[in-house]
Amino acid sequence: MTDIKKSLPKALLKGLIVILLAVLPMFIMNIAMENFLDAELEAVQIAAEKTLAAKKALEEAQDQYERERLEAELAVKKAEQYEEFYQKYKRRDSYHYYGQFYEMYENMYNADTIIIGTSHAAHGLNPLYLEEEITDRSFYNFGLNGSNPSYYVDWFKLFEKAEYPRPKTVIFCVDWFMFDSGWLWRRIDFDTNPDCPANIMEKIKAREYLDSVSATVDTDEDTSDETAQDQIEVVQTEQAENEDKKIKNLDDLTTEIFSHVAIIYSRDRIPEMIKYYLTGASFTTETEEVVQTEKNEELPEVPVYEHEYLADSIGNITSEFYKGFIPWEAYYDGSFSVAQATNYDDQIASMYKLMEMFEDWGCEVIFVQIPEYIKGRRAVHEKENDELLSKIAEKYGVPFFNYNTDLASEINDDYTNYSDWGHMSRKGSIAFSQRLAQDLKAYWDGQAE
Amino acid sequence: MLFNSIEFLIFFPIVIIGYFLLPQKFRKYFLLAASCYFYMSFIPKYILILLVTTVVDFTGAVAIDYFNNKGKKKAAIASFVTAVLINVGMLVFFKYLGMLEDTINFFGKKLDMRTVVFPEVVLPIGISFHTFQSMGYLIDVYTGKEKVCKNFIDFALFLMFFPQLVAGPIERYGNLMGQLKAEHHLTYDNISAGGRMMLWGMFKKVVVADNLAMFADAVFDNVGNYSGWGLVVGILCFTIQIYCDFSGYSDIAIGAARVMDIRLMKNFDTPYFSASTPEFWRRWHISLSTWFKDYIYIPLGGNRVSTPRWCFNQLVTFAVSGIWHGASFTFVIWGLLNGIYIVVSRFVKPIKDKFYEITRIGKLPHLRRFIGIAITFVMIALTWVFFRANTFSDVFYVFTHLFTSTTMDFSHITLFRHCVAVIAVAVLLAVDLMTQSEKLKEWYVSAKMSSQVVRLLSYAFILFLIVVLGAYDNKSFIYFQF
Repeated sequence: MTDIKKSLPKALLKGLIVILLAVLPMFIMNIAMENFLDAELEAVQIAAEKTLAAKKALEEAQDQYERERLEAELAVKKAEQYEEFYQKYKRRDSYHYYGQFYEMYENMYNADTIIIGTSHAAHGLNPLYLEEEITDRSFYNFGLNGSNPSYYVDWFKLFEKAEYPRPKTVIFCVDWFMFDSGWLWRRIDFDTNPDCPANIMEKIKAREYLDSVSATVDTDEDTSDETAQDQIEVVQTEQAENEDKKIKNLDDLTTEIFSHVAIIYSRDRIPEMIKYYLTGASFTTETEEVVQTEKNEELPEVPVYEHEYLADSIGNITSEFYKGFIPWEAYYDGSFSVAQATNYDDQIASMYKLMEMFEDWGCEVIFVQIPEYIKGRRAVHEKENDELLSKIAEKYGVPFFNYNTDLASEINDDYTNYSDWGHMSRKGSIAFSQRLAQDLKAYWDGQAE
Repeated sequence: MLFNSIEFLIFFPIVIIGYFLLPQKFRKYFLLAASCYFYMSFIPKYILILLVTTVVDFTGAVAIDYFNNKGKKKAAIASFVTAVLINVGMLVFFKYLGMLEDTINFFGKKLDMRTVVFPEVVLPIGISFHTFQSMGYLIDVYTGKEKVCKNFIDFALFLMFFPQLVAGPIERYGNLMGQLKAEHHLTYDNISAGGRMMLWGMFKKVVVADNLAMFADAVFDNVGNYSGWGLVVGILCFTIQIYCDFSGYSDIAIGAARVMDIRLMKNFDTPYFSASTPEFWRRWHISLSTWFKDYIYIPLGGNRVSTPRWCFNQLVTFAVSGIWHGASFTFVIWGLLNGIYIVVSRFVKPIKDKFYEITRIGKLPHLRRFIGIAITFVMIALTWVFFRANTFSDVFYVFTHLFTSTTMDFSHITLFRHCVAVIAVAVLLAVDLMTQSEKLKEWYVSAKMSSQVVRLLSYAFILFLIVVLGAYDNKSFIYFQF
């Protein structure tokens, strides 16, 4: 005890001085970072306001010609808003998540056929080639790295909240390892944490909502101040609820604490923050070359932006992102791996939950298993897991296109179609997307008959 | 729990306060309980493996001593061999089963045989370290170098002392046991020195190693996308990463023990400032290299043998060292390559000395040393390719594309992380260079007001860098896989 009385107070005092000396610059930088992030989001929100104004103008259009012009204006504003968003968030880790959540909340494409699944889907299925073959549908790839059925149960809650139209068809890319949550790690808070894609989109939407509410209040419409105030409070409560997560352990606690410290969760932005303050720059759009589309003398042109090559931290080619698809190029020499999956009961339960939900929605579901480089892997428990998937498909009357078994082809035999044994390369994704497009067309044509 | 985790940040002060609040006679029980808790925080049931090792080696040593005292030499040998075989057997089962499976499947594929799948076994954290620590004790008792420990709790604590339990330093019984039994005092000097080491170790791990890992991983996980300087950058980054990762852990372990008034052995002595490969291996992972020297190299005859035999001894020692590091043939090649360096350096030394004499570089000791450091660094860096590469074909690719035109793309790594890498390496180099000067070291730790102020400011600066620049995706320490 004497030891502690003698040594500890001095050590604690010195420790406290060190901590204070370290915290002071952190505190100052934190304030600076918060201001910087607010200024950046503001730029996107201003673009969103312009889109909102264009939407309102369209709603008030008096005649067909004005309507046509305002629709074109709206398309231009949407494109500019999306470009503003891309330029601000293209360097965030894995932009494609930001792009997908942007679509979920802003509904640029009004997709009636959505694709969900893991990274095998995100890198394997390109809507461009699906739409080339199937021209009467709009596709969007909502495949996400590391996603599992439980993740999608939470994801569809966001989907509903964002009011994205319920799809006509869900192409569910099912993998033989999809019930292994040790392998598939994604949780919804990775996307809803502060300054993460869903959180950013909700802030943008909340601002749009608040702007629309305050605009309504300013007009002579029959909305009382009290009702508007209630609505604002609802939005703010929803935002607070989004941030209210279950803290199960110390890791969750530290993540929660650090997720409110801007200088920590946005550290990667420090060089940009320094540049912002040193140069006094404002957040104007930095567009690259703009390629004009067909000119119409009377209607405004929708700009099409070309983006210089950009890849994220794990090799996803951000600049080639298209409707949720993102190519992943990595060196693969066809080397062999043993892959083993463990089924977790909660994931299987979530799978049934999703199928019930799709049934309630009345939307068609199609199971697709993305082709893998069969010679490059020994998939332990593949047969049993595929049988489970077949059982689920049979129960809900869902067709199952399995491109690793009965529908395997030369695509599975060529390792240049892959970036590793499971993920398709750009070349592979083109070949497979075209193949699937033909099969889906034949299937749907058959259904129509 | 990892050292760079919030759990350890809470665990450690509680252990320190609890330890020093207790009367001396209860301290070892408390420390043992804390060490068990520390180990069980990884995979709880694997404490049984540690318990088995402890019981086997404690009983084995007692049996060896008993039979020796009774003059029953054969029984003593049998006890010794049995205990060693159990230790090695457990190591082989948990660590090398995967390697065996890969080897069988490699040859089996060529013979069109069905692939074999062994049950998946999770590697118990630190098994290589505590097994070697324990076997060192067994060997010392068998050879009569150390007296047997007849108190199970004392022995268990020697084996399971938490700061060095999972990644070393691999302590010797003689050094650690005496300290564990002695009375300890919580002094300001120990808190200061220990805290300083822990802070520096944390900086090396989360700021230097984990940030450079992004560049090294980018290259080694996609070698085909890099060539020329791109590969050079990857190799350099891994060279610094592995040093900082491992020495960072050692610093935290040694610092934590120091706070408790226990001196663990120094494990790294700025090895990349070595002017020759033999010197490098006297300064890198000192606890392991001295273990191999004392328990494999010297029993084989050491250097008191003919030259061919000496070469053989070196190669065997380093090959075993390679296998210890990893369950893959790339590690074996890495070990052998280092052995070859040691052997060649002996034969090349006269030629080197002659060269320096002719060119008069010999008269400029600083220049000579600088050249030696540069050459040694490059040679060691090249061996790390075998250590880090995922497959042999990757190794082949690296060496055949090192001197071709440059392809590299780190644009996916943010500008921030590029800046952090540069700042981190600059700070590391500055501090490691300053520690080469004994005068500067003495001044830094002195009681003068100026040095106190500089110390406080430097601690604050390092803490600031750790919090703001550190990589926090919970990357575990590289040597945990051993």
